Amino acid sequence: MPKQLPQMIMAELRKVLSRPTGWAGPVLSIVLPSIVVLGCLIVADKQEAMMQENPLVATMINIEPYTVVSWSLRTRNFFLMPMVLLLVTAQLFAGERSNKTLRSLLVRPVPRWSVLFSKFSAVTLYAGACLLITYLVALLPALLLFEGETELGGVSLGFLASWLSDAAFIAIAALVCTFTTSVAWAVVGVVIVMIGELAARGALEAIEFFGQTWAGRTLEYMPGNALEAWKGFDEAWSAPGFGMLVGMLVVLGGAALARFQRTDVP
Amino acid sequence: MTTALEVRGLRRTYGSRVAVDSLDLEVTEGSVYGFLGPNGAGKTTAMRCILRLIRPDAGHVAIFGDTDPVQQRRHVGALIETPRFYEWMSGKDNLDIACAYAGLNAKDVVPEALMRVGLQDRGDDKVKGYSLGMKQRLGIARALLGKPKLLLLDEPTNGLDPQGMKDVRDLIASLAADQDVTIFISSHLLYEVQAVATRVGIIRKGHLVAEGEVEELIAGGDELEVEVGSPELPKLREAIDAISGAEWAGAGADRRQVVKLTHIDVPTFNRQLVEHGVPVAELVGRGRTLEDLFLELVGGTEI
Repeated sequence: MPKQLPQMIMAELRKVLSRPTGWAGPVLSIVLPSIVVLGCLIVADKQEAMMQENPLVATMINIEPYTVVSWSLRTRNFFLMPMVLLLVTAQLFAGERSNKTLRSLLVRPVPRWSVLFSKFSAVTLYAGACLLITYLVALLPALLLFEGETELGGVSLGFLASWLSDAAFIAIAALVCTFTTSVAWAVVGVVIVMIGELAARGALEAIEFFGQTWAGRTLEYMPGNALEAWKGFDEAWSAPGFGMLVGMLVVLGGAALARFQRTDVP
Repeated sequence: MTTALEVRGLRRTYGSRVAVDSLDLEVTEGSVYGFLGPNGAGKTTAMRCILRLIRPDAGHVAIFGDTDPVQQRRHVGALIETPRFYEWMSGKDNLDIACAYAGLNAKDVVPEALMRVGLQDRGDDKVKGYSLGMKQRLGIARALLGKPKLLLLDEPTNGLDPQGMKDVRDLIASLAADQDVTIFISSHLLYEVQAVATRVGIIRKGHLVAEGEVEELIAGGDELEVEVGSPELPKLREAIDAISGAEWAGAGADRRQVVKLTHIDVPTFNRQLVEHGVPVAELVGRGRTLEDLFLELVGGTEI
């Protein structure tokens, strides 16, 4: 392992944060939970009036600190933030191959894997920092403005699982980037992979519906299930979900690394 | 003499096309090695293979005796074709990133590197505002980070104005002379290579077709060429025909006549012209250039 690996990761992080796409993550991490907090405040405000009109429905809508933080995480993990991570990853991997800046890194006295690893680590740290911002922006107003369940262990674990899920997603993007030098094609490629996986899951569900139990068992091990494992963490610890995320990260990261080692960078 | 770069049997193919084939090179420490060849001859492919940017199909590369690519790169600074940068960042930031990968303290080395290529006043400007020549200088500054013992330069004067070209030539000469840096330079500007290189290798269709010391290669055996100027042109032509070992080879610059001399030296030829009653106004030696040699070997292929 090269001694300068921490500096390499910081250099990659510096690159990420020096571009507008890099700033989109922290901005979304503030804006999205703020919208959730605001929405929860509006719903909580209406809840009192609703209690008079329809007490049954009103009791079902229970806005407490746990709900605010949990919904902030769900909103953060839906579409926009994954797209930002995908773009940042594509710029750092495929973009650097296409504009040939990768060449100047590969002529330095470090093993090839460490170049990929430093890029991967930088985007993963970036995703973690964005998650931390989301957590804090959601948590502080949730505790100050809402009453009720303050036990946040489960949802906090959900944030940790989301980070792992982000890392696995970044590994998918990195692997796709070893097949193309175009940022646009890398983004399209990852979207195609995700749609393909969704279609495969749909097909397995249909097969399971017709009584084939193997399809149901296979479904549990599909990558999409692992990527969405964070949903299961807001209520209880899920060791298989956690294990699948880690496994996916190792397999995809390893595959990206193996391909990168053999890739010509003219 | 220590061998700085040793290449043996290097081969790289792209499908059925052989880009580099059985390439053998040896560059001694402290020398400036000119690597020449027409477009598509395999120069850049060979340099990329040496740096392991692309994987050779076969062959062995050793740099200062090291065969491990990571260890090799500790000794090497490289500029391959037009250097590319993170355009939205400053020149200094770009060098900082290179330092992070090289394990160097940027504060110690970046100002000196910028100074060396005359960019000390523009280091904080964004690279997207740099001219092609400035980018080339910044590329050279990046290659010089960490004081490499071997510098691989692929067309280092691309995009530079005449003054910039001269500066790079001077820089190469000073690096080789004062700091004992071994330089492996590829360029299509042959006069430029002739001005700085001590040894050259000429590659054609992936094969090394000539290699040797520049002076030896251009010495060209027993044949000499001179240009003779005289106000009495017909008399001069008659005398040339009469002198044994001299052969008229055409008109030269400024109404001078080009004469090939075989087995006759210049003072003897001059004396015989005078003996034939030719008033010699000027007699200029025409040395064989690297370009002449190059054109002979590659058959006038475009370079």
